Amino acid sequence: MNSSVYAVSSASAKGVGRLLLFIALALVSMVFAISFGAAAISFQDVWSVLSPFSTQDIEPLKERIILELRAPRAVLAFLAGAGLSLAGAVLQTVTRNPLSDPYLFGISSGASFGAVLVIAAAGSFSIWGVNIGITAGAFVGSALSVLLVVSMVGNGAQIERMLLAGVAVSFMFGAATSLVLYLSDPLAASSLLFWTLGSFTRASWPNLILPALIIVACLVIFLAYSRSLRAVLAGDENARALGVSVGRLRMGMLLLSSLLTATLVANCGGIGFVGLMIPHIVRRLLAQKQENIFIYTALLGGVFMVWVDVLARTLSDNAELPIGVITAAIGSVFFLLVLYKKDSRKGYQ
Amino acid sequence: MMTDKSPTDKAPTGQALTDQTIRNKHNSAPLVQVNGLSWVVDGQRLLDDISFSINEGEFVGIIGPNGAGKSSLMRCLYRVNRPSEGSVYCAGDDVWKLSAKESARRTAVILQETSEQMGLSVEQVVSQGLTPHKKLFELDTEADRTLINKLITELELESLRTHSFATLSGGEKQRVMLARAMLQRPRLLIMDEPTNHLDVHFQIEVLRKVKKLPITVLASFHDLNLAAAFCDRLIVMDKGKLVAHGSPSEVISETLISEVFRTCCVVDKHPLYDHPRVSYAVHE
Repeated sequence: MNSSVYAVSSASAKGVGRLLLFIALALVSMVFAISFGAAAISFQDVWSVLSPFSTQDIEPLKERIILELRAPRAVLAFLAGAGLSLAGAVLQTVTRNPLSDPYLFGISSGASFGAVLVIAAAGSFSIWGVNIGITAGAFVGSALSVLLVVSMVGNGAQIERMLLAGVAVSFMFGAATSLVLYLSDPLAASSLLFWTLGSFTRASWPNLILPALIIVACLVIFLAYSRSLRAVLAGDENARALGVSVGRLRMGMLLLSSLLTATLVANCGGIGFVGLMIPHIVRRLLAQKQENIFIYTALLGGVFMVWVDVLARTLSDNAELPIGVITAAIGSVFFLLVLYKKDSRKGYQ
Repeated sequence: MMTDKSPTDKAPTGQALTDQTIRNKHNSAPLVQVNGLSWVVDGQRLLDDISFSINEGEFVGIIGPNGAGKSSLMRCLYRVNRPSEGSVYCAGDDVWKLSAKESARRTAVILQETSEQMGLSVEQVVSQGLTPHKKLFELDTEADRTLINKLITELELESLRTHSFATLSGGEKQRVMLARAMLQRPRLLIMDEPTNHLDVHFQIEVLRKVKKLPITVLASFHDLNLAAAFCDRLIVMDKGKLVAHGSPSEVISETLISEVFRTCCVVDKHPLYDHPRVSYAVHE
């Protein structure tokens, strides 16, 4: 075996090892997260309920808390982090803009507006525990925002027009959401805040099926097109010269990101900064591993959100903190630190 | 939607080429055939009735002042500008009737400017050349890796393999783009001002490497001396029209440069080689 072939095999083995490490981190994070909360439940308790090999008996109440409340909540937190990070990563790639995320394109604002309007106007109804009204409202809102962005962008799918249209649509739906909140009575307004600040309190197993299916489907599609997406990083004209239909690819990815975001906003409300921050961290950690960047982004985003949810449940003794507040706080500090470090390095040069 | 070639899309064999067609040195059909091409934008004819052909293995240069239509013409060849009239054939097929991928398998392009590629390494940028050859989900094979390694070695990029593309110098970036273009295994290489932003050393180095490639090349130039030194034939453009064509000795003359570039010069034979040399009258 010559040295270059050996190097490739060794790199592949390292890649598999790294992937397994990230998967293990995700699983361990979720099991640990389940053990945090108001009721005292230990890691061993969680393990004995979830592990098929455990023979230890556990109180029925604890078992119900783990299986019906905390486990679906941890899984929803993981799915939300994974999905929003994936949406951010793919939007940043197709626009070659490191500041792109579902918020910048108005997708989150549209989805939040749709959900808030449904709650304020009609409440919601459930089928097998799924809030159909809110989900539908979020979908319609995000679809409307995408439709507005796309109608202003035209056939060429130029990045600059797309971003400007996205920002305008985002502000428009943000203003509309604020107006609905302002006009609602105080009791309704407090429940409406759920959608603008984000929470995993409505997690239930039936609620997880749709987001899980959509996230897995989108991840598979992103992986299928990862070569074309990498080509887009070279610029539109370069990508076209490499045989990529850039306009169609960009539009398709925008629609998939909208689908991801709408599904998650419908279940968890508006959670910002994750789609922006996690792809940045993954690119910094794994700059040379672009081939599987979407898998790592989903895994790290999921792990991040699981721990954000733990913080939301444990930071305050009296009440849960909104998820969106914590992600925004961490995200803004992260970006300030990144900028500070970049400036320091420039100073040394 | 573009579809793969059909038998009716074949180049019109035996069709008489216009007066502007460049002489055919070889007996075989030309690799590139441009027939009566015009490109109109907002009622403005930016390219007007252009016809020429390029034979397999030739190095053809396009020269002309700024705004002459050099880049616009090349964009029609690699499927960015769709011609308003006329046709472009590559290897016997109308490029606008080929799929985007099939066209990219035949024609590789090196542009003047490339984005910073958001942290991609040299090796990753080179491997983008596999894009038109791969289906969805298809991974790199051992043969692909071997070819990438070979190109990285040939273009002296080994020490830069893991470096971020954004941190490279202009000459290094151009070598990376050349490696990427070669990985596409094209029959035609189009280069838009390949020596732009390069110092004299890298200008000559890049063009020497291109000249050695067993491939057909169409490149635009601003430096007439480099064009004369490296090109087998030259196409001269002005105001969207093809105004002259032929070998560098046939095309480059004091009269033509004065008319097209509005610059006075002296044209003589290069002291070392058998091609013309242009010396500009820079002082009034």
